[in-house]
Amino acid sequence: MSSEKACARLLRHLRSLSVQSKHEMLRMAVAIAIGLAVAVILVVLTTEDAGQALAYFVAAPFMGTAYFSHMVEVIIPLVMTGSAVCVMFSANQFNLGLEGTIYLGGLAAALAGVYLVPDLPVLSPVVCILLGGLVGFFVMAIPALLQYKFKANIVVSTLMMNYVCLYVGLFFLFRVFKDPASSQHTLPIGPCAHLPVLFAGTRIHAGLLLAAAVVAASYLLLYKTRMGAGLRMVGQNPKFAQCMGLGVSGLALASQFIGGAIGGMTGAVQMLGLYDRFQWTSLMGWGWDGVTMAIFARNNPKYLPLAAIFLAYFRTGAWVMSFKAGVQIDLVSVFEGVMVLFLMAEKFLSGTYRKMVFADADRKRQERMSKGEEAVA
Amino acid sequence: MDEDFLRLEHITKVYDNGIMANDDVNFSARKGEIHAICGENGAGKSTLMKQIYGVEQPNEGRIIVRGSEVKLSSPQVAISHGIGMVFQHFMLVPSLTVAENVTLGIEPRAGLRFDAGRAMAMTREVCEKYGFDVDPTARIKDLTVGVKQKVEILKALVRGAEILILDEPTAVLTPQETDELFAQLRSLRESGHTIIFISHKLGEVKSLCDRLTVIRRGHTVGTYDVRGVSEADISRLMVGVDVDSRIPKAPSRPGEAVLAAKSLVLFDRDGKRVVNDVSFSVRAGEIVGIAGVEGNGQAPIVDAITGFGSSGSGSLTMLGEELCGKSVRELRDRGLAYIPEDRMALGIAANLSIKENMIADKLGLARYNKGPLLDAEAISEDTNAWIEGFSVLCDGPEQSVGMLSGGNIQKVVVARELTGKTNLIVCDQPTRGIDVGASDSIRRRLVQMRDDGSAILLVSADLSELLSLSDRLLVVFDGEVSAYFSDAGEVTEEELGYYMLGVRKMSDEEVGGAYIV
Repeated sequence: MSSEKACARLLRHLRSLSVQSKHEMLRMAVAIAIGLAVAVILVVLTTEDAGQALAYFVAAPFMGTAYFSHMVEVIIPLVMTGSAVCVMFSANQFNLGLEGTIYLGGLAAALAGVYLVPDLPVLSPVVCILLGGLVGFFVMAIPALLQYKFKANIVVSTLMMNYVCLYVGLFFLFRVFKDPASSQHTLPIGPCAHLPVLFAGTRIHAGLLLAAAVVAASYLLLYKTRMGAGLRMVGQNPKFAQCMGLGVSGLALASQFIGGAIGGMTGAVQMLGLYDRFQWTSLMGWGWDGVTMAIFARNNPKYLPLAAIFLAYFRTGAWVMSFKAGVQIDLVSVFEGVMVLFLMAEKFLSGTYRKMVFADADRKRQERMSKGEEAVA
Repeated sequence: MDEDFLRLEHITKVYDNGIMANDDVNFSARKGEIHAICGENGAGKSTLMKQIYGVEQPNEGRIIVRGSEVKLSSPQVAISHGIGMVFQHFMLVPSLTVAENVTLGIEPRAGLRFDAGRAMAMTREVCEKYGFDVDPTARIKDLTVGVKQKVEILKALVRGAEILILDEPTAVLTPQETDELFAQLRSLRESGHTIIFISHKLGEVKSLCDRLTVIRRGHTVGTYDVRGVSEADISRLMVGVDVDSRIPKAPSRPGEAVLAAKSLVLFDRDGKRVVNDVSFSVRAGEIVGIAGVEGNGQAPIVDAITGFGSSGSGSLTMLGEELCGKSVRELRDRGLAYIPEDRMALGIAANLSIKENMIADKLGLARYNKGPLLDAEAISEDTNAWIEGFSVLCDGPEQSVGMLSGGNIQKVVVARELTGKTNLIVCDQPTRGIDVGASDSIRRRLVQMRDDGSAILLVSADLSELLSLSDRLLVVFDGEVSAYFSDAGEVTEEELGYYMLGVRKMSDEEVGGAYIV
């Protein structure tokens, strides 16, 4: 009974959606279908026992607690960096510098966990994460201010900044803070600084709570506050925003500062949740995932959880498939890449869109005409 | 053979933003006639022409050329069927010669090289054939607007166009150039060309055309023999009902000066002097109009008042405070409202909702903030009331503004601007390109705001709008005030024209009357 009601409500909701939203959903569905089809074809072509491999790909998270736990672990950085990118992209700041903030944020948190606050119960991880966020904030301020002051192209400067961050970090790792007994990592992080595990028997850590808070906060910021409305106005039409009396440059900078801080915190959370010591010798890729997430969520943090579960689900599948059935894990990157490609292609399904718009306009015309006839009668 | 050279049947065109520009339109043109298409701005004339020229494709309907159905998927295809078009905005390369422009895309070649001699010869040949007096070796940038238009027509003729579409060709011409153009068009008609002439200048239609088709709100009203209808008939057909374009208005009761410009000089980005020693004031409770041909200093004046200005000298004050150097926020806080000329660029964010666009200038008000968050309830309540009050035709407050028609977009802009603080309202072309109904309601609003004590500065290219709304009126020419009328009601459009074109100029004393403090 209640499910019927829910169904009816859902149908009503779907009918009331604008043509654009309907078309967006269609595009999304078709892009996912194409991505899945490509993935399946690749598996079938390259694997002996394709059936078994595909079973892992589509159902792995339900085939063991460890797999499910892995999925949740993957979700945490996805929603956090996704939030950061949503905030920056909503203001049309095409800042790609999250990788660097994650890296240095992680390093800062690890060092704080080793030297600064190794053994304060509860407080240690808080201090470490805040410190990571602070580092991210300052790192991101560099390209943001370069753009503001000197019109340095934000895409180019942030891409280069990522490597500057990496090599600065490596310098400190190898030359200053290296564990004397080893070659590749720092001393272990203090026991109290680790993020506690939420569910015994899994590796799901307290970072999940922070991730949820970050998504909620960035949604509220963008869609429920004065500042967020300003950010989105700047993103949609900066001249209009200026005409409305907003401080366009200030908002553009603020969006990047926020993004940087979230990036730094993401690095810290990953470090304290999953690692015993700082050992990253390359950029981790979560920053790029943030861009993918923002594309899936159309820059609205509201859709990030759904998008993150979706991506994490198939990433876990690919991961399990790789060691159980010997399929290259890169398969999942192809899957994601194909979907992003189709979502980004502006003209993808534009013919269908035109037809939908026409049908809608035609329907409204008929309604008008029948109303007009009634009025005449 | 079919009598109709070109026939459109049941053409329906819906743009991607959902606006139905043409709804079941029928149209036909005979060989050797000049056929006018009349309709208001936004009636769907240009959309129809773009479909004939292959720029847009219809969603439904058939296009028939010389008795056979064709699919005009691009301008190239249209040209191959003998259809040419001259746009309002010329598509010429300024640095190239006339001959090079005329043959652009169909260049005669000598081996791999461009054959300049043959291009000259081709151009000269067409010029002679149709009696065009154009020098093929001249560079486009050195030509007047009238000659550039001839080059556009030549471009079409050289490609073998038998149907010529001219989109408001006289809008940019002087009266003499217009006469010359008409003579040329008549001689083209003699040689068997079909000319489709888009215009809303009814006098021209009457004097030049054979038949006319009237389009209203995307529908064809009908096709008429020009001799059989009067100008009044045409205008009634275009608008649908007899509209009284005059706005009822009591005499103004002006208060203190809100805006005062004294010896204002403004420079553009290149350091060119664009406004020269202009003085005027706008008092509370009056509408001061600025007339002038576009580009004679109106835009820099508006920019200076609204916080987008560049450098200058002299004084520009609002309620006694110097405006120069103030941010837009500071100006708005002091009660500036601004209805910009380019509504898509400055007036709205097309992808944001009606609600967000209406509230955009008021985000800082205490009424719309509850703690750290915006007060969604208060915002909904007020924006719903404004949508209702300004009769914005839409699906609801969450619809993107970009999906509305031009008139409704402008209503959103006006609703926002007039519901804020309105000590001074600057209106730049407040009704350009929107339908009569919306124009009328916006004009009535402005008069209402005046009566409620706002000072209104109105810049418009629509002379009848200026004359009916303004209490006092300035004319600008070449960056200077060329005329001032203390009672706009006593001025005629002809009189304005002389001052707008710089034929006449008032003395400094006469003009000085515009500054009343």
